[in-house]
Amino acid sequence: MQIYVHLLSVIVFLPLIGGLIVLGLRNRTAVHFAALITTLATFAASLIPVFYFNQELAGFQFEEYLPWIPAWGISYHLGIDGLSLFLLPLTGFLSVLAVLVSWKRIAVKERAYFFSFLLLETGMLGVFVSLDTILFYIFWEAMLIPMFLIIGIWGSANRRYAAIKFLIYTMAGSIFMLIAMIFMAVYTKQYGGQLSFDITVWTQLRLPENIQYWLFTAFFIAFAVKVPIFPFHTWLPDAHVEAPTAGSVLLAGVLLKMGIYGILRFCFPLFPHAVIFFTPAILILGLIGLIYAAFVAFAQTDLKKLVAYSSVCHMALIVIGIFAANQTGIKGGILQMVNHGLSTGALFILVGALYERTGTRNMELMGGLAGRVPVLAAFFMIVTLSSIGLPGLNGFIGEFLLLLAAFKFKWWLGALSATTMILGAIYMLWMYQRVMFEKSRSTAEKSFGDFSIRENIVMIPVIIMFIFIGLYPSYFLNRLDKISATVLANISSNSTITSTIAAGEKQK
Amino acid sequence: MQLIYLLILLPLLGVLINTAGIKHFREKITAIIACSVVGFSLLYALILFYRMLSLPSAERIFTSVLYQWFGDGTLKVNIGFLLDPLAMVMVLVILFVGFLIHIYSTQYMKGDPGFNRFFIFLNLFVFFMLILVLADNLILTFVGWEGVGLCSYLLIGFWHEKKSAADAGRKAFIVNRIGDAGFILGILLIIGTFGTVNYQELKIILAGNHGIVSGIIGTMAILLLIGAMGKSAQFPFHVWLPDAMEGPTPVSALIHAATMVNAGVYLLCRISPFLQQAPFVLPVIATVGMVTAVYAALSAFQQKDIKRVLAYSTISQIGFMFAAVGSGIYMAGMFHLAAHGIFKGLLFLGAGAVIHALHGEQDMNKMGGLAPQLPAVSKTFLIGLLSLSGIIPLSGFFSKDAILWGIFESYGIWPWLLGFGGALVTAIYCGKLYGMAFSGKSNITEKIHHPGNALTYPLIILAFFAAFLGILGLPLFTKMTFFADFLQASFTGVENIYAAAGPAAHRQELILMIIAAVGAILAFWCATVLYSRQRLKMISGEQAHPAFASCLAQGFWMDKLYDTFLVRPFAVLCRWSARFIDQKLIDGIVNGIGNVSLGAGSYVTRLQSGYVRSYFGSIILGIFIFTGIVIWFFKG
Repeated sequence: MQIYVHLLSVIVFLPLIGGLIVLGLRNRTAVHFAALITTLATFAASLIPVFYFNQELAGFQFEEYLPWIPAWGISYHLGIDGLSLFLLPLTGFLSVLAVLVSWKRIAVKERAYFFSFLLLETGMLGVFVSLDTILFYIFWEAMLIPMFLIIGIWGSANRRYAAIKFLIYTMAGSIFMLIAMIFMAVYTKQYGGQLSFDITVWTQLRLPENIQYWLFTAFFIAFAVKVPIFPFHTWLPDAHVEAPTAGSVLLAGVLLKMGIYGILRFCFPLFPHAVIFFTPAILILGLIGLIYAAFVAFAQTDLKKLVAYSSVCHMALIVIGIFAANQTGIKGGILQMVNHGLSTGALFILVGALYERTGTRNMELMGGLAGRVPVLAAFFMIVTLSSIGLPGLNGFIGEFLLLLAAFKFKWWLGALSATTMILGAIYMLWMYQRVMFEKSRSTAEKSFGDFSIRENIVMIPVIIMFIFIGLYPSYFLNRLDKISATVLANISSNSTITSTIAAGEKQK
Repeated sequence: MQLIYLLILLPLLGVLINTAGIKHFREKITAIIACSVVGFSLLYALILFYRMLSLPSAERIFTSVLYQWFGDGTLKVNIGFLLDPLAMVMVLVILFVGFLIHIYSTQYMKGDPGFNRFFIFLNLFVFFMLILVLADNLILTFVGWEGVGLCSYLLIGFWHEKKSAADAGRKAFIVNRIGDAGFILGILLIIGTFGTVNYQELKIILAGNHGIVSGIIGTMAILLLIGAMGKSAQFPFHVWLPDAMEGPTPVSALIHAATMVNAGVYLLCRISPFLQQAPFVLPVIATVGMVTAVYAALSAFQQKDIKRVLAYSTISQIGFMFAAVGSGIYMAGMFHLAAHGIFKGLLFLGAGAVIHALHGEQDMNKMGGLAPQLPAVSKTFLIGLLSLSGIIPLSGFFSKDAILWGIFESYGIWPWLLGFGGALVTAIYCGKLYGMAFSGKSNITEKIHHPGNALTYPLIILAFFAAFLGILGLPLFTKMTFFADFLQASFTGVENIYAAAGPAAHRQELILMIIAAVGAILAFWCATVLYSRQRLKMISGEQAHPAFASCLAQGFWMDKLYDTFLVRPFAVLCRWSARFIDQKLIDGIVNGIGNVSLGAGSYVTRLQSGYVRSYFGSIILGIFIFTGIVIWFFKG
């Protein structure tokens, strides 16, 4: 395995190097190509671990370890397992798409834009591979600044408010996380004998329950803001509406996943008692988010806001599924992260494409577009269907496993969660009808063309991925077998919550 | 090993080729590709049917597994197919009626700007419908189930510039989704209990000693029944079907009469082992079926639009099929499904030919005296109507009689009377339809558009089968008709829970049959005569009680009911959530906290003016503070 020793470092820092090169370039076209080649190379590199991943092994693979500040137990420790395995290529893939949708669309400060963008990619990839929490935190924060800039500089009218809200909200959350991390390191010394910020060391610890409760809370707030879990979600619609298309794609496609990633990486293995203790409360928040966000989505007139709220719904279902704390839910949750990244990313790309053409995101001013941009409409239909979980496409498998997980936990949880099938169809099809069907309600008629070749190149791979995941999810699920057991190992060893409906009914 | 998936792949191939050529193919090429893939699929189905017939009854089950789709613990879900007699009947109906409707559509849709798109959707529909009936497990059936729902949505809203069409498509999809949520919960409960979704494995488990109480099994059956009611437009989920008539008429014939809407009946037959173990579900199904049958027949009577008559009639006939399943006579239900698929397909295609001839006119009040002008259409249409009314000796007579007798056997005379009433109303609205549209004086002023061969031949072929399919319902007075005999392999171990008829019962059966047969003939004849010769008098008679007439015409105001008590409150709730809770309450608190916690005065203004520097400042400050805490801990 010698040749892979620095693979993860290469994946993480390739975009940063590309970004520095971009800064040095003078020519516009050169900037575009440099950014595209960088993201393509990163995507290609991020696929290597998928092919060489050993699905039989529990624990981390492709590990890299360098001591950094040994006195404080801080190290440069990278590694991936089933949890991060597919999030890397997802990030790489969406980054390529994001570069393509930004192609010649950025009016001001292009170099700065692509630099921020590539820096953001390094941050995102870094978060998923870091096994040292200080390193994790650095990447986590490093990601916020470029995102803040992308929204704040290249966003639309009300961008400042949205950018600041995004930054303060998420940062307020991460401060809690930082405090908790430092305390965690201190507790490691207290209970394990040695100061360490290494996650692999932390997972060996068994913390007393009362400590678990507050540390869990601190971590959970940071991640709940990121997911976002109701009622911490209000930054999301604002950020999405103001962000440029590429920003929205990465925000929905990757950044939201970090909340779930963090919960599975930190909360589940480190604080099993607290997880069990807080599960009912979190499930209720998840259920509220699932149903309430669908209501709010239905009432939107702004297309981007509607898609943003649909994200809240989808993420709420993932939260419900993973907190049902069975392997089905963990697997479904991880798979659904990938699915949601693809379908919501694609939705934002399409919304962006519509905005470029019609100059509005207000659905009351659209209508009748199916006849004018049939190819775009066809892609939009497929992506909409993926989003509402049509069987045969990717969304179904994830949704089904999550519902199954919820149902195994408590039948009523599954039953209530299944309303998302109905509500999702209601608001998404209503959206589609208002945008694509009927007659145009626009007051100022513009002439515009259908999808260009560039836009087709963006969408076709996404659709292929929809169908691939929809028809052969086993490829993913097999690789998630071990991690779903690992994540739950600490919980099931001291829990009483796993029960099947059949067993429950038999007792009656 | 039979190549079952070939049946499915052919229509998919048509979809792919035509999608690739959507911008380049001329109408003719698209039509040839679309029709031939279905035609070859039909040929292959006939070959398989022949092979199946040559096998002894117990061996008539073909299976083929392509690969494992996904799994979860012990649960294995395959992309696998099961072709047994039950599926075979469905496959034949789908491909036979489907093929004829494809041919018919080549002329009906000629010149439509969406011609190519139409045939892609039609092929896609056949593809999903075949998945639905051939799947060897519940989840794969669900794939087809939702897939046909999607095609139905796309085809109802085919002329999507019309708001009413777009609305109708969406309504169909959403009402179906409500049912589908029940379906999914049923699947989840089955997985949670038995750990498998494969039909054959479930059958074996259920036949054995599984130790699961019948309450749980009944719950599974009820949940799946909700799915079936959504798809098969049973009361109170029926409201989408009349609106679905916004779609092009061949679509109504194929999807909303002959195939998709019957999927619920197929599903209930498929899960018959569950029903067997939870007998208390059967009366529920029978009640749903009977209520729907009578309700929709009454509503059909007062429709003015020729397609809406047929739509309500479809709802009503599927109600009879549900009643058959609820009486434990699955095979009679399936027989009615096949017969109904053919004669209702015929009627819709005939209605389409009429609409085509009259340049889009669908109002029966504006028709009349069409028989001499459209001889082939009117004759085939009459055969369809007679069959639907259950007139001896057409196919509808045999299938409906078997159901009525089953109802009597299982539930006695009162439900039989209700069913008989429904059948009488059916004969009446059929007679009325024929009288209004085809006989009597001509109302038509415009020049009639005569149907071409592609429209007429499918009608004639379907009429032939509508007339003679009844042979399969012989011999009379036995449960083992030719048709039932063929189906037997799919229902082994699912004996009718109600006692077999003795010789005394045969006499009863004969009497009831004569009553039903004579009643239907009289009702049909009277209605035809009255509505053609005394047309104006009859219509003014109907208008004498306007409230009653509009009650029937609007399907007992079910749409208004839903609109007032579900749709509007939902929209209000949504708006209130968005404007008040989300914007004012939650976001208000967030912004409030933001403003307060960041301190007062100029610092806030400086922050909010977007100085990135101050954020960096506070981050670095924060990091210093916490590093300080760590060091403090170290010393301690």
